[in-house]
Amino acid sequence: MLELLIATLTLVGFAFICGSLLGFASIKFKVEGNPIVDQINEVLPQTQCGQCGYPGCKPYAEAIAEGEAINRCPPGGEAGIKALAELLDMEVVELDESCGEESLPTVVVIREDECIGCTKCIQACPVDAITGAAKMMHTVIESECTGCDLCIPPCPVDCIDIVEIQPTIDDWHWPNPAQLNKPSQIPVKVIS
Amino acid sequence: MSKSIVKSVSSKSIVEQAKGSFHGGIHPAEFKNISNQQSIKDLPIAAQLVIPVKQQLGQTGEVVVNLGDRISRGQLLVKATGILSANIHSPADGIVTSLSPAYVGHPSGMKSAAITIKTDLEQSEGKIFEPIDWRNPSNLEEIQSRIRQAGIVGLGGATFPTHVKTSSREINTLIVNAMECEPFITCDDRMLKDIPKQVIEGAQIVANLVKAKNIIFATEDNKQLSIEKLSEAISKTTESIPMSIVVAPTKYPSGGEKQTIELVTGKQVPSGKIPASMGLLVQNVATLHAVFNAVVKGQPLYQRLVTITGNLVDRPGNYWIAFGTQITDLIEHFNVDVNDCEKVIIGGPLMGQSVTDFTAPVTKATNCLIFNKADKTEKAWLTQTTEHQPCIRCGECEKVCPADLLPQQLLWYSQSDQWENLQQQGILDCIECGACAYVCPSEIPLVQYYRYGKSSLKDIQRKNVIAEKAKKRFDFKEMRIQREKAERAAKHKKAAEARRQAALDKKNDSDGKQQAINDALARVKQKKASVGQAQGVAQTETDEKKES
Repeated sequence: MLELLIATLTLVGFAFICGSLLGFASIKFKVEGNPIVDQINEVLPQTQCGQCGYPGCKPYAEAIAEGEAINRCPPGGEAGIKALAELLDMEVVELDESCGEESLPTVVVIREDECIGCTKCIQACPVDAITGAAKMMHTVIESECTGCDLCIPPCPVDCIDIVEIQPTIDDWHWPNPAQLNKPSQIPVKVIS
Repeated sequence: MSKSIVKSVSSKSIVEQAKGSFHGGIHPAEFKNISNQQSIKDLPIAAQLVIPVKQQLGQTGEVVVNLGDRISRGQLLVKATGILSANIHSPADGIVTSLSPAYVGHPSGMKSAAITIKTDLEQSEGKIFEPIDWRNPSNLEEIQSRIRQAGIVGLGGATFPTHVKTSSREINTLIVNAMECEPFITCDDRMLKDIPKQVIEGAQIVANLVKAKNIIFATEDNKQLSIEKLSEAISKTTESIPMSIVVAPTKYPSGGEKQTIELVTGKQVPSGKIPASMGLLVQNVATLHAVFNAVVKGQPLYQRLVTITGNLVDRPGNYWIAFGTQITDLIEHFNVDVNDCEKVIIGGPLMGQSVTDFTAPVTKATNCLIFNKADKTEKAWLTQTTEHQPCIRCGECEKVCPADLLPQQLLWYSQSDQWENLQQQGILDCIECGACAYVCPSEIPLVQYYRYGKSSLKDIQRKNVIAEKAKKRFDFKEMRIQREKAERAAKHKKAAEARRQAALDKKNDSDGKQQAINDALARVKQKKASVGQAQGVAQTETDEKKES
């Protein structure tokens, strides 16, 4: 009888210690917010364009964490969907065409002589990439523009153009040799 | 400058065999004696020079001349911006005729910013700097800034700005890279044969600057004549920092920086580390000569020694060629039969690239130009099919990789766009020497796959930086909107509070204001009433007068 008591007490004591340790850890090391949201947000391209139907990348990341489809981000494109699928251990799916198409990176440019200085685009820009003041000309800081095009609908005089970013020599990408007609060879090998 | 050190150095043999060896390597046909038989000559300055605005690794500089400007030889054309950048000077007297982008021989085929100069017939000397007495220890700062001003970059082909490398002060050994392991190229070899003293002085200047205790010339055993000339020059010199020559067996690519270090010291530079972390500085022969020119002669870097070679060239050899000299001018000068020449190889045949647009100019990176007859010996399937043969997993590439990588794995990951795995396999340690592609029995253009992979990785990195920036700005805007909202709300709350307080005050009349107002009003009323009374009295008096 005593043995039974000892065994029971030992186990109860052990369980109590473990339980209090766990309880302590859950308070001490409490994670603020949902860490998976941040991880998803890292993968999203941060254009803040809202093409997914959410007002920015973070809200979309939150929605994905809640079970929204991962194929609603056209700027992220195929690579983005792949990365999300890998992160969330899901199937790779095609881009949802209702959200838009994957396109080359763009920026917007204001035709400055036509701008009336209404500040509507400034308010619409999610990344503060437009500078100007009321009744003064506005202009886009191109290096900060994500190409989300959110400034275009509010413009009352339609003076904002979408411009494709031209690749420069510095950010030129070596082509995939599998897609080249004639991959270059090593001349010395051919000669000898 | 104590002579005893020099004596002790020259008394023992200064030529020794390389201690170490590196993994892999290949032995391609050398073709070096086409161009290394003739001594160095000057090439007359062409009528027109096209000078690319960016000729080095790092940031593009800022153009400081205008269209139509008359410029003199050695004048600054492009000013360096930031640390990793280099000045560019005019190689000739002349007039700036165009600042529009030109074809600069980039593998993309894209045009890039360039300065076109119409040169004068009469040329000045172009020595724009005052010579510096480099042996005087108080001039070190001046030498360092001179290296920077003169626009010197690594002339072995990587074009890394030299002043960045020489800013280190914890160097033990300066290794002079004279390996020149790639076929056809002989400019460093020829420089050591013809002007070894100037190279030695350049090496002494740099070693003195970085406080190196000794200088090692690293070369290959196929350059016996230049080893002889160099050791002769070293034994005659009176310079203070001891010098020796290390000779490695000829093998490609022993001229790679990390390979050279492994050969000379027997130690490997860890991945991701720079040689300076081991107390080593590696400089190419031509770079040291450029330092000599800048410090001793006062001449900025506006020309370089270029190997002109190939079976279509009339007088192959090594020539001082001004930057901006177009290949078309060289074709004319060397009587190259253009019909036989489909493409020109800039750089060596393994690491260089072929250009088909001959308006491309000579730049700081151009160490060699090969004009070879369009070869008819290509294997038929190479030109007929667009796809290479599949990898058969023979493992030959792994055996020759000097960076100890697994070329097959790199190929798989590049082909299947698995960038993370590619990076884990060490793609960034690949020096693109082409040894793997050279031995590949399937003739797979391996280096092209690696370049594709590397630029994809770079792309991802760039996109991440942009995304990170956008995220920050978005978060900031959100924060600002929230803050403004909160501020507005606080303001409204304050105003409402004030109003409520006012109403309350009115009601309670806590400070007696209302009382005062009431009192004042009462006084006014009273006054009005009394005035009315007085007026009434006066009125009755006049009435009485009228009556009487």
